[in-house]
Amino acid sequence: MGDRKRLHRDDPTRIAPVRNFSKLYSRSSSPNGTHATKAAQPDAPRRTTGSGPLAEGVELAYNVIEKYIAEGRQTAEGFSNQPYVTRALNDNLQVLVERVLRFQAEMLPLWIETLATLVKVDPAQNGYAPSSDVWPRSNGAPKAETMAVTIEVVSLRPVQVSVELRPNSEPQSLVALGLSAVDSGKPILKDISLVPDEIAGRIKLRLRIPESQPPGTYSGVIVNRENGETRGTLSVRIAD
Amino acid sequence: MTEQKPIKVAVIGGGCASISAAFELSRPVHKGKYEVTIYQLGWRLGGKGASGRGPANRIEEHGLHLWMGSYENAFRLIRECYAELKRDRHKCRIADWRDAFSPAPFIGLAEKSQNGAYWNFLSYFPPGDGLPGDPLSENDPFTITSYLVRTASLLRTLLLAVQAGRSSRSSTKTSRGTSNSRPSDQSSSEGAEGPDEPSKRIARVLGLGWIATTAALIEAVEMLELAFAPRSIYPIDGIAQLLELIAASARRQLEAIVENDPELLVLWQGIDLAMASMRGILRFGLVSDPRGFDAINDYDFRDWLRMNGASERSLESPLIRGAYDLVFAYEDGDYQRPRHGAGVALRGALRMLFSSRGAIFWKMHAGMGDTVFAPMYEVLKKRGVAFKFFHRLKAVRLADPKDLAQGERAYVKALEFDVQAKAKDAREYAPLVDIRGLPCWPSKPDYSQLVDGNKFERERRDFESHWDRRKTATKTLRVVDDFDFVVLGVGIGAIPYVCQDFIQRDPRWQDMVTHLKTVNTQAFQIWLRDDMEQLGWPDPPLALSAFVHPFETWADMSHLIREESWKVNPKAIAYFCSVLNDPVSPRDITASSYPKRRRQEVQDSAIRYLNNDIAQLWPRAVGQRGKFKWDLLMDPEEKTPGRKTPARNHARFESQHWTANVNPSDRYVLSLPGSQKYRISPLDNTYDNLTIAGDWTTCGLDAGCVEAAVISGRLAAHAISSSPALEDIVAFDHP
Repeated sequence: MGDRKRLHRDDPTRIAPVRNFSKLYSRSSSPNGTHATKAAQPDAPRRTTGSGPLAEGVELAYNVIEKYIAEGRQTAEGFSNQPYVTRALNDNLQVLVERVLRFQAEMLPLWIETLATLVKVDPAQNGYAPSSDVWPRSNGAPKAETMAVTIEVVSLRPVQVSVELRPNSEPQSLVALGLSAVDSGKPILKDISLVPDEIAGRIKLRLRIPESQPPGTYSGVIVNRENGETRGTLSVRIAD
Repeated sequence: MTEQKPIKVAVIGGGCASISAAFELSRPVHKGKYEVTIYQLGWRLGGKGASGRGPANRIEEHGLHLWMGSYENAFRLIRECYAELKRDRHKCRIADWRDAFSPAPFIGLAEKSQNGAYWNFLSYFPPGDGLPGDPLSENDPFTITSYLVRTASLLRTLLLAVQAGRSSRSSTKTSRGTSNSRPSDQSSSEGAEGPDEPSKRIARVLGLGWIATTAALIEAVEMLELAFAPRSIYPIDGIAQLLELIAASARRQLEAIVENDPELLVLWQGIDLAMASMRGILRFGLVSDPRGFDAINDYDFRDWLRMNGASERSLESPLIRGAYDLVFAYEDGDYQRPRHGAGVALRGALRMLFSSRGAIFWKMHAGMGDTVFAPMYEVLKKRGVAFKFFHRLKAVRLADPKDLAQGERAYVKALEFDVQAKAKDAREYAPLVDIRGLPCWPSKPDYSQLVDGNKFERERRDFESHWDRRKTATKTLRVVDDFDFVVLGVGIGAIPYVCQDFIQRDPRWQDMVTHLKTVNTQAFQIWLRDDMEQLGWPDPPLALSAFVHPFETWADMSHLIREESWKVNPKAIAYFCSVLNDPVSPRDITASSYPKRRRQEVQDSAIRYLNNDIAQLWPRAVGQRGKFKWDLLMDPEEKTPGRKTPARNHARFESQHWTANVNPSDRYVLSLPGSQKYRISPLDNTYDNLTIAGDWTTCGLDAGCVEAAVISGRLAAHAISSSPALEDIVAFDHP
């Protein structure tokens, strides 16, 4: 073999792909490591027939959407019985579609918000085991699990701020991304900063509302700038 | 690795994975640190992607090769290759990667109608942003969140298509009935409605009274898109509920309506499958599962979709059959056993649909050997990579465990080869031929370069056959003296034959060869006197799948005519491919007559297919009795154009090209449910001086395709040189 020696490969830093790099909808992974060996199982069915706020909410939601679908269909059926020419058809069709869409645009966000609130109420019925890493509950969760926040707002108009932060967030690493309105035509609310408060363990949220910012509700997430992990949500409602 | 002398790397095999590894290790940035030698069976590179030029310089492939627009690593590699090659456009017609590839945006799926005839559903996917291999934008498309958003968008597009009969902006479709093979019946095709009649279509839809229903669902899906948006505050649970709500409403309201409209039915099935996928992603917690889509790999894709509410009809739809056909997902080649791991399938489908750039498919403008492996060979040669053709690997030998020092890892001590042939005068074999300025691979070796070449030609030595073991010499490479590291890039099917040391000692390798199953494939190509329109196919050139078994996948490759050298050009070229079932008795495989017998089977199947089934696609390709018009086939050996040739009827098929890919290394690796965990990573360093490379390794995609092989090759290079960085291997870190 002469003066050469057998060469060795360096130890790899890892041998498998990182599969879980979407942390947007972070929900706790199994803390006991069962993920590594057991095939994923579907979560328990959401739509329960039992009592409780979740079941009621789901039933309510179904009723709502069924109602407007039925109304749209009834309208269309009524319309289809009328004589028409192509041009009139297209014009009236547009009116019809706009009407249905407007109805839903008003109803669906309300429905989703209602459902979201209900889902948060009762995690046990939602099929998820509670863990230390779940999202803070807006209703029913111990307050100690959220971090205290001092809010400073500069605005000429009344502003309502709602902020939720996961426990153990590092104040110096937090950053709030721009807040968006559901109406995509409204500009993003950007002048937001999160800094450690003088009082230990608290976080200071500074928010400036431009005069030109249209009224409405703006929402977004708070992330850890180091690793991109979502640490909380921020919602701002600007009055007219 | 502080050795100053070049580190000798033996790369075994010349397929996509091996070539990628060699390309990475020989990059100029390494400054010659790695001395790479590629050992190749027979006379040509390419593995399952090898092609050759036959009579009339016609292109003869192993199968049908299309690259997907999502093959980011493969396109980066080939783009770099052409850029480095700097071919002179005035001398070589394929000088740049854009000369080599062009978009193939049409996809066709065949569906059986109630009367037993097939009709075709064609989709056009407009180009995505950029080109494959371009730098990725800031928005990483390879996240589950991104996929959910895009799936919701697709859902809306499909609903719009259902509503209006055709998509509004982002996709269009046409349909064409071929329920009767006679050309005169073309105009009466079922479900055909010209795109110039939207008002008629809307009137029909409105007459059914469900336009509002669809509109309502569309709006609901738009809300879903908002909910999936990157900064959405809606909780995942609420989204899942919304999805179930939409699905239930959609099914109730739409399914009955589309029942008797075949094209709407396919669209509805697309909606149903998209919703089932989204629902499954949420229900199975894949968004946050650290295993990503691997978490559902123990399920068959169809079973998983069924669990998430997809209807039985959707699961039997051409969309699903086409997906299984695309990856030959039939265990043992048995069409009664379609099986494909759900995670791998979902990942592949999402990548194909939502991260393709330029087009969903790209087709090559010459053989895959000519467009990919010839330029790669030239670049690697220029970089100093050595090629040893006619080297058949016999065994990879491990060091005896007794000889290992304490704590020393197992390692490869020797590589044993049969030398099939030697070049004359100890020269290096020159493998390429010049076809009007384009370097290409021939379908046969250049015997004139070989010692005893005339004899080998007379003996019809098949250097690529597993069953032809004739050799001129043996060679043993020894660690340190001849190599430092090994990249084992052979097909998984060859592993049991060459890696017995590993299989006997290592349970993981035993499991790998036991559970990672492979299938044979088959293909044929025909050259035709009539063009596709004359044959009765009026639609654009495309690849069509989900058609009659076998040869359920067909592609119009007429664009290759100009690349060949016929005295009188054919007017159309068609490629067909499919799985080829395994013999009932494994002992059949050991018989020396086995490959010949399988090849005869393929020929017989192709003749039956052309006689009995092709009329469904090309109604004018059959005669009065409904049988294939064999004189449509062009024989490259015909001396006088138009003259009657001795071969008549189906004997004319003898002049065409067909192949039974039954060599162990040619077998296609499946991604059966539950098998993914038995794959081994190229990064695994159980064996100190060996890394593996191929689409059968743990490479992110874990599916048989060019992209998986390229990723694997890059991983193998990383295992040896720590380059490229894992973060630079596009979508290796993928859910």
